[in-house]
Amino acid sequence: MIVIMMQTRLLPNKDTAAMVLLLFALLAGGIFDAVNNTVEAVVFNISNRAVPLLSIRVGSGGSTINRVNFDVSSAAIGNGTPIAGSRRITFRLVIRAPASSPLTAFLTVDSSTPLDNGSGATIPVSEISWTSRDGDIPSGNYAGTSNQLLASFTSSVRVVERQTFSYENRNIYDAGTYNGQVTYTWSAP
Amino acid sequence: MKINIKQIVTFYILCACTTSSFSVPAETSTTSGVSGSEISTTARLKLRVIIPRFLQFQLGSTGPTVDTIAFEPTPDAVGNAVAVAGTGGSAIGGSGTSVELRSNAGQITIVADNDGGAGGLGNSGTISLSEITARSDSSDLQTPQLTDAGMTTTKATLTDGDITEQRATWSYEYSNSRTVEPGTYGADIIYTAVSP
Repeated sequence: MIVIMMQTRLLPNKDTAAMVLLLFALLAGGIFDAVNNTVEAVVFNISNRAVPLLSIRVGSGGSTINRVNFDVSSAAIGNGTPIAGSRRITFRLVIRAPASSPLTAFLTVDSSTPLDNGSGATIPVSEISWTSRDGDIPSGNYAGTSNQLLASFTSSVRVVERQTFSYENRNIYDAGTYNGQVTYTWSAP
Repeated sequence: MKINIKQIVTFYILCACTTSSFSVPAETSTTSGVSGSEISTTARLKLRVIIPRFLQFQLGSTGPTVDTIAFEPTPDAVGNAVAVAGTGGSAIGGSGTSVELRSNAGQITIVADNDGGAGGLGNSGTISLSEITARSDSSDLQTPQLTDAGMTTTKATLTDGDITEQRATWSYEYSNSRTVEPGTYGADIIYTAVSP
Protein backbone atom coordinates (compact mmCIF):
# COMPACT_ATOMS: atom_id res chain seq x y z
CA MET A 1 0.00 0.00 0.00
CA ILE A 2 1.21 3.46 -0.75
CA VAL A 3 0.56 6.10 1.83
CA ILE A 4 1.24 9.62 0.86
CA MET A 5 1.47 12.24 3.51
CA MET A 6 1.78 15.79 2.45
CA GLN A 7 2.37 18.51 4.94
CA THR A 8 1.56 21.87 3.64
CA ARG A 9 2.11 25.11 5.36
CA LEU A 10 2.09 28.59 3.99
CA LEU A 11 3.19 28.28 0.41
CA PRO A 12 2.67 30.37 -2.67
CA ASN A 13 -0.37 28.94 -4.40
CA LYS A 14 1.28 28.18 -7.71
CA ASP A 15 3.95 26.06 -6.00
CA THR A 16 1.29 24.07 -4.20
CA ALA A 17 -0.55 23.47 -7.43
CA ALA A 18 2.63 22.30 -9.12
CA MET A 19 3.35 19.85 -6.34
CA VAL A 20 -0.16 18.40 -6.51
CA LEU A 21 0.13 17.99 -10.26
CA LEU A 22 3.40 16.17 -9.80
CA LEU A 23 1.80 13.86 -7.28
CA PHE A 24 -1.07 12.96 -9.62
CA ALA A 25 1.37 12.37 -12.44
CA LEU A 26 3.33 9.94 -10.33
CA LEU A 27 0.19 8.05 -9.33
CA ALA A 28 -1.20 7.93 -12.88
CA GLY A 29 2.02 6.51 -14.20
CA GLY A 30 2.18 3.73 -11.64
CA ILE A 31 5.71 4.69 -10.93
CA PHE A 32 5.63 3.74 -7.32
CA ASP A 33 4.41 0.23 -8.06
CA ALA A 34 6.99 -0.25 -10.74
CA VAL A 35 9.91 0.88 -8.70
CA ASN A 36 9.67 -0.92 -5.46
CA ASN A 37 6.81 -2.61 -3.67
CA THR A 38 8.49 -2.23 -0.34
CA VAL A 39 7.95 1.48 -0.36
CA GLU A 40 5.25 2.21 2.14
CA ALA A 41 5.38 5.94 2.57
CA VAL A 42 6.38 8.97 0.65
CA VAL A 43 6.52 12.08 2.72
CA PHE A 44 6.57 15.49 1.19
CA ASN A 45 7.65 18.22 3.54
CA ILE A 46 6.75 21.46 1.92
CA SER A 47 7.41 24.35 4.19
CA ASN A 48 7.70 28.04 3.74
CA ARG A 49 11.12 29.22 4.65
CA ALA A 50 10.43 32.84 5.21
CA VAL A 51 12.66 34.98 3.09
CA PRO A 52 13.99 37.86 5.18
CA LEU A 53 11.91 40.90 4.42
CA LEU A 54 11.99 44.48 5.54
CA SER A 55 9.39 46.91 4.41
CA ILE A 56 8.63 50.48 5.35
CA ARG A 57 5.89 52.80 4.26
CA VAL A 58 5.62 56.40 5.40
CA GLY A 59 2.37 58.04 4.50
CA SER A 60 0.46 57.30 1.36
CA GLY A 61 2.97 55.05 -0.31
CA GLY A 62 3.75 54.51 -3.93
CA SER A 63 5.92 57.15 -5.50
CA THR A 64 4.29 59.86 -3.41
CA ILE A 65 6.35 61.53 -0.74
CA ASN A 66 3.91 63.04 1.72
CA ARG A 67 4.48 66.51 3.12
CA VAL A 68 3.61 68.00 6.48
CA ASN A 69 3.07 71.78 6.46
CA PHE A 70 3.44 74.19 9.35
CA ASP A 71 1.76 77.51 8.57
CA VAL A 72 2.73 80.24 11.03
CA SER A 73 0.51 83.32 11.26
CA SER A 74 2.20 86.72 11.31
CA ALA A 75 0.84 87.45 14.77
CA ALA A 76 2.31 84.25 16.21
CA ILE A 77 5.81 84.18 14.73
CA GLY A 78 8.35 83.13 17.29
CA ASN A 79 6.00 83.43 20.25
CA GLY A 80 6.75 79.94 21.55
CA THR A 81 3.31 78.53 20.86
CA PRO A 82 3.82 75.32 18.85
CA ILE A 83 2.34 75.12 15.37
CA ALA A 84 0.57 71.85 14.60
CA GLY A 85 1.41 70.07 11.37
CA SER A 86 -1.16 69.96 8.62
CA ARG A 87 -1.68 66.19 8.68
CA ARG A 88 -0.85 63.04 10.53
CA ILE A 89 1.39 60.42 9.01
CA THR A 90 1.02 56.65 9.29
CA PHE A 91 4.15 54.55 9.47
CA ARG A 92 4.02 50.88 8.47
CA LEU A 93 7.00 48.70 9.22
CA VAL A 94 7.38 44.99 8.56
CA ILE A 95 10.23 42.73 9.48
CA ARG A 96 9.97 39.05 8.63
CA ALA A 97 12.54 36.30 9.01
CA PRO A 98 12.61 32.58 9.81
CA ALA A 99 12.14 31.84 13.46
CA SER A 100 15.42 29.93 13.34
CA SER A 101 17.28 33.03 12.17
CA PRO A 102 15.54 36.03 13.64
CA LEU A 103 16.50 39.52 12.64
CA THR A 104 16.49 42.75 14.55
CA ALA A 105 15.81 45.84 12.48
CA PHE A 106 16.52 49.45 13.40
CA LEU A 107 14.55 52.49 12.37
CA THR A 108 16.72 55.58 12.00
CA VAL A 109 16.13 58.98 10.51
CA ASP A 110 18.41 61.44 8.76
CA SER A 111 17.36 65.01 9.55
CA SER A 112 20.75 66.60 9.07
CA THR A 113 19.73 68.87 6.20
CA PRO A 114 17.86 71.95 7.46
CA LEU A 115 14.76 73.37 5.85
CA ASP A 116 15.68 76.02 3.28
CA ASN A 117 13.72 79.00 1.96
CA GLY A 118 15.69 79.17 -1.25
CA SER A 119 17.25 82.50 -0.29
CA GLY A 120 19.90 81.30 2.07
CA ALA A 121 17.89 81.18 5.27
CA THR A 122 17.38 77.88 7.04
CA ILE A 123 15.42 76.34 9.90
CA PRO A 124 16.92 73.34 11.73
CA VAL A 125 14.76 70.25 11.47
CA SER A 126 15.40 69.81 15.18
CA GLU A 127 12.69 72.40 15.79
CA ILE A 128 10.11 69.87 14.64
CA SER A 129 8.82 67.10 16.89
CA TRP A 130 6.28 64.31 16.64
CA THR A 131 3.80 62.59 18.91
CA SER A 132 3.07 58.90 18.39
CA ARG A 133 -0.39 57.52 18.93
CA ASP A 134 0.65 54.13 20.32
CA GLY A 135 4.25 54.67 21.29
CA ASP A 136 5.69 51.70 19.42
CA ILE A 137 7.84 54.32 17.77
CA PRO A 138 8.40 56.67 20.71
CA SER A 139 7.49 60.34 20.50
CA GLY A 140 10.40 62.71 20.15
CA ASN A 141 11.97 65.40 18.05
CA TYR A 142 14.39 65.31 15.16
CA ALA A 143 17.98 65.54 16.32
CA GLY A 144 19.26 67.22 13.19
CA THR A 145 21.73 64.36 12.71
CA SER A 146 22.21 61.79 9.98
CA ASN A 147 21.60 58.62 11.98
CA GLN A 148 19.11 59.16 14.80
CA LEU A 149 17.83 55.88 16.21
CA LEU A 150 14.06 55.88 16.67
CA ALA A 151 13.15 52.26 17.44
CA SER A 152 14.12 48.64 16.91
CA PHE A 153 12.05 45.50 16.46
CA THR A 154 12.85 41.81 16.24
CA SER A 155 11.24 39.60 13.61
CA SER A 156 8.58 38.88 12.82
CA VAL A 157 6.31 41.84 13.40
CA ARG A 158 4.24 44.42 11.63
CA VAL A 159 4.11 47.86 13.21
CA VAL A 160 1.54 50.50 12.36
CA GLU A 161 2.04 53.85 14.05
CA ARG A 162 0.37 57.20 13.52
CA GLN A 163 2.22 60.39 14.25
CA THR A 164 1.29 64.04 14.46
CA PHE A 165 3.92 66.73 14.04
CA SER A 166 4.64 70.08 15.63
CA TYR A 167 6.90 73.06 14.88
CA GLU A 168 8.13 74.63 18.12
CA ASN A 169 7.97 78.24 16.84
CA ARG A 170 10.43 79.69 19.33
CA ASN A 171 12.52 81.74 16.93
CA ILE A 172 12.05 84.44 14.34
CA TYR A 173 13.15 83.57 10.84
CA ASP A 174 13.23 85.43 7.57
CA ALA A 175 9.99 85.35 5.68
CA GLY A 176 9.64 82.56 3.19
CA THR A 177 8.60 79.00 2.51
CA TYR A 178 11.08 76.59 4.02
CA ASN A 179 11.22 73.15 2.42
CA GLY A 180 13.11 70.04 3.35
CA GLN A 181 12.76 66.34 3.87
CA VAL A 182 13.85 63.63 6.24
CA THR A 183 14.81 60.12 5.26
CA TYR A 184 13.84 57.10 7.33
CA THR A 185 16.00 53.99 7.06
CA TRP A 186 14.71 50.63 8.17
CA SER A 187 17.61 48.19 8.23
CA ALA A 188 18.78 44.91 9.66
CA PRO A 189 22.54 44.56 9.92
CA MET B 1 0.14 49.13 16.90
CA LYS B 2 2.45 46.13 16.73
CA ILE B 3 1.23 42.81 15.37
CA ASN B 4 3.08 39.55 15.56
CA ILE B 5 3.53 38.35 12.02
CA LYS B 6 2.09 34.89 12.85
CA GLN B 7 -1.33 36.46 13.13
CA ILE B 8 -1.00 37.68 9.61
CA VAL B 9 0.04 34.23 8.35
CA THR B 10 -3.11 32.71 9.83
CA PHE B 11 -5.17 35.29 8.05
CA TYR B 12 -3.67 34.44 4.69
CA ILE B 13 -4.19 30.70 5.14
CA LEU B 14 -7.87 31.33 5.63
CA CYS B 15 -7.89 33.38 2.49
CA ALA B 16 -6.31 30.51 0.58
CA CYS B 17 -9.13 28.22 1.57
CA THR B 18 -11.76 30.42 0.05
CA THR B 19 -10.12 31.76 -3.04
CA SER B 20 -8.36 30.21 -5.92
CA SER B 21 -5.20 32.16 -5.34
CA PHE B 22 -3.75 34.68 -2.97
CA SER B 23 -0.80 36.90 -2.66
CA VAL B 24 0.80 38.91 0.07
CA PRO B 25 -0.11 42.56 -0.31
CA ALA B 26 2.90 44.51 -1.40
CA GLU B 27 4.20 47.30 0.76
CA THR B 28 4.61 50.49 -1.16
CA SER B 29 6.57 53.67 -0.84
CA THR B 30 9.73 51.80 -0.20
CA THR B 31 13.07 51.40 -1.75
CA SER B 32 14.78 48.21 -0.84
CA GLY B 33 17.97 46.45 -1.47
CA VAL B 34 20.63 44.26 -0.06
CA SER B 35 24.08 45.64 0.56
CA GLY B 36 26.41 42.89 1.60
CA SER B 37 24.63 41.13 4.41
CA GLU B 38 22.59 44.15 5.43
CA ILE B 39 18.99 44.52 4.39
CA SER B 40 17.87 48.09 4.21
CA THR B 41 14.92 50.11 2.97
CA THR B 42 14.20 53.80 3.08
CA ALA B 43 11.22 56.11 2.92
CA ARG B 44 11.07 59.89 2.92
CA LEU B 45 8.85 62.59 4.37
CA LYS B 46 8.73 66.22 3.26
CA LEU B 47 8.46 69.07 5.74
CA ARG B 48 7.49 72.67 5.03
CA VAL B 49 7.40 75.69 7.34
CA ILE B 50 5.76 78.86 6.00
CA ILE B 51 6.88 82.13 7.62
CA PRO B 52 5.15 85.36 6.50
CA ARG B 53 6.61 88.87 6.70
CA PHE B 54 5.71 90.56 9.91
CA LEU B 55 6.39 93.64 12.03
CA GLN B 56 5.47 93.99 15.69
CA PHE B 57 6.10 97.28 17.46
CA GLN B 58 4.95 97.94 20.98
CA LEU B 59 5.66 101.14 22.87
CA GLY B 60 4.26 101.49 26.35
CA SER B 61 1.30 99.62 27.72
CA THR B 62 -0.58 97.06 25.67
CA GLY B 63 -4.02 97.62 24.24
CA PRO B 64 -5.60 101.02 23.60
CA THR B 65 -3.94 102.68 26.57
CA VAL B 66 -1.75 105.68 25.70
CA ASP B 67 0.78 106.23 28.44
CA THR B 68 1.59 109.70 29.75
CA ILE B 69 5.02 110.94 30.72
CA ALA B 70 4.75 113.96 33.02
CA PHE B 71 7.32 116.65 33.92
CA GLU B 72 6.43 118.62 37.03
CA PRO B 73 8.98 121.17 38.22
CA THR B 74 8.31 122.47 41.70
CA PRO B 75 7.36 126.15 41.93
CA ASP B 76 10.74 127.18 43.20
CA ALA B 77 12.50 125.29 40.44
CA VAL B 78 10.65 126.57 37.40
CA GLY B 79 13.12 127.72 34.78
CA ASN B 80 16.22 127.08 36.87
CA ALA B 81 17.78 124.97 34.11
CA VAL B 82 17.87 121.91 36.29
CA ALA B 83 16.47 119.12 34.13
CA VAL B 84 13.30 117.42 35.29
CA ALA B 85 12.97 113.68 34.69
CA GLY B 86 9.69 112.42 33.33
CA THR B 87 7.53 110.12 35.40
CA GLY B 88 4.91 107.60 34.38
CA GLY B 89 4.91 105.19 31.52
CA SER B 90 5.15 101.44 31.32
CA ALA B 91 8.77 101.01 32.31
CA ILE B 92 9.63 99.53 35.65
CA GLY B 93 9.43 102.28 38.26
CA GLY B 94 7.30 104.45 36.00
CA SER B 95 10.26 106.33 34.65
CA GLY B 96 9.86 105.83 30.94
CA THR B 97 8.31 103.58 28.39
CA SER B 98 9.16 100.02 27.45
CA VAL B 99 9.69 99.41 23.76
CA GLU B 100 9.75 96.13 21.85
CA LEU B 101 10.41 95.68 18.16
CA ARG B 102 10.21 92.34 16.35
CA SER B 103 10.30 91.87 12.62
CA ASN B 104 11.63 89.76 9.77
CA ALA B 105 10.95 92.41 7.14
CA GLY B 106 14.39 94.00 6.83
CA GLN B 107 15.78 97.28 8.12
CA ILE B 108 13.19 98.94 10.33
CA THR B 109 13.00 102.72 10.65
CA ILE B 110 11.29 104.33 13.60
CA VAL B 111 9.66 107.69 12.97
CA ALA B 112 8.59 110.17 15.68
CA ASP B 113 5.91 112.70 14.92
CA ASN B 114 3.53 114.75 17.08
CA ASP B 115 0.03 116.09 16.96
CA GLY B 116 1.01 119.64 17.67
CA GLY B 117 2.15 120.73 14.28
CA ALA B 118 5.00 123.15 14.74
CA GLY B 119 3.58 124.51 17.96
CA GLY B 120 5.32 122.21 20.36
CA LEU B 121 3.70 121.23 23.62
CA GLY B 122 0.16 122.50 23.76
CA ASN B 123 0.52 123.84 20.24
CA SER B 124 1.00 127.26 21.79
CA GLY B 125 4.63 127.76 21.00
CA THR B 126 5.36 128.14 24.68
CA ILE B 127 7.41 125.01 25.19
CA SER B 128 9.20 123.43 22.28
CA LEU B 129 9.37 119.68 22.00
CA SER B 130 13.09 120.09 21.47
CA GLU B 131 13.26 120.89 25.19
CA ILE B 132 12.36 117.26 25.83
CA THR B 133 15.34 114.95 25.59
CA ALA B 134 14.64 111.30 24.84
CA ARG B 135 17.11 108.56 25.74
CA SER B 136 17.30 104.83 25.18
CA ASP B 137 19.09 102.29 27.34
CA SER B 138 19.90 100.26 24.22
CA SER B 139 22.16 101.37 21.41
CA ASP B 140 20.38 98.84 19.18
CA LEU B 141 17.00 100.51 19.60
CA GLN B 142 17.60 104.24 19.77
CA THR B 143 14.78 106.72 20.15
CA PRO B 144 14.28 109.53 17.66
CA GLN B 145 14.80 112.98 19.13
CA LEU B 146 11.68 115.08 19.47
CA THR B 147 11.21 118.26 17.48
CA ASP B 148 8.28 120.51 16.80
CA ALA B 149 8.48 119.69 13.11
CA GLY B 150 8.45 115.97 13.83
CA MET B 151 9.33 113.14 11.44
CA THR B 152 12.68 112.46 13.05
CA THR B 153 13.98 108.93 12.60
CA THR B 154 16.30 106.24 13.88
CA LYS B 155 17.11 102.79 12.56
CA ALA B 156 16.98 99.69 14.71
CA THR B 157 19.91 97.33 14.59
CA LEU B 158 19.23 94.17 12.61
CA THR B 159 19.68 91.07 14.71
CA ASP B 160 20.39 88.61 11.88
CA GLY B 161 19.71 88.94 8.19
CA ASP B 162 16.34 90.63 7.83
CA ILE B 163 15.42 89.92 11.42
CA THR B 164 15.05 92.49 14.17
CA GLU B 165 14.40 91.52 17.74
CA GLN B 166 15.17 94.42 20.09
CA ARG B 167 13.95 95.72 23.41
CA ALA B 168 14.68 98.95 25.21
CA THR B 169 13.41 101.47 27.72
CA TRP B 170 13.05 105.00 26.53
CA SER B 171 13.18 107.75 29.12
CA TYR B 172 12.48 111.49 28.85
CA GLU B 173 13.79 114.65 30.45
CA TYR B 174 12.57 118.27 30.34
CA SER B 175 15.37 120.82 30.15
CA ASN B 176 13.47 123.40 32.27
CA SER B 177 15.66 126.16 30.91
CA ARG B 178 13.01 128.87 30.63
CA THR B 179 10.36 130.38 32.84
CA VAL B 180 6.96 129.98 31.24
CA GLU B 181 3.37 130.77 32.10
CA PRO B 182 1.79 128.33 34.54
CA GLY B 183 -0.36 125.67 32.97
CA THR B 184 -0.48 122.17 31.62
CA TYR B 185 1.18 121.72 28.30
CA GLY B 186 0.67 118.47 26.44
CA ALA B 187 1.27 116.77 23.15
CA ASP B 188 0.88 113.30 21.73
CA ILE B 189 4.01 111.77 20.28
CA ILE B 190 3.28 109.31 17.53
CA TYR B 191 5.88 106.64 16.86
CA THR B 192 5.72 104.55 13.71
CA ALA B 193 7.87 101.57 12.75
CA VAL B 194 8.34 101.24 8.99
CA SER B 195 9.71 98.29 7.03
CA PRO B 196 11.26 98.57 3.57
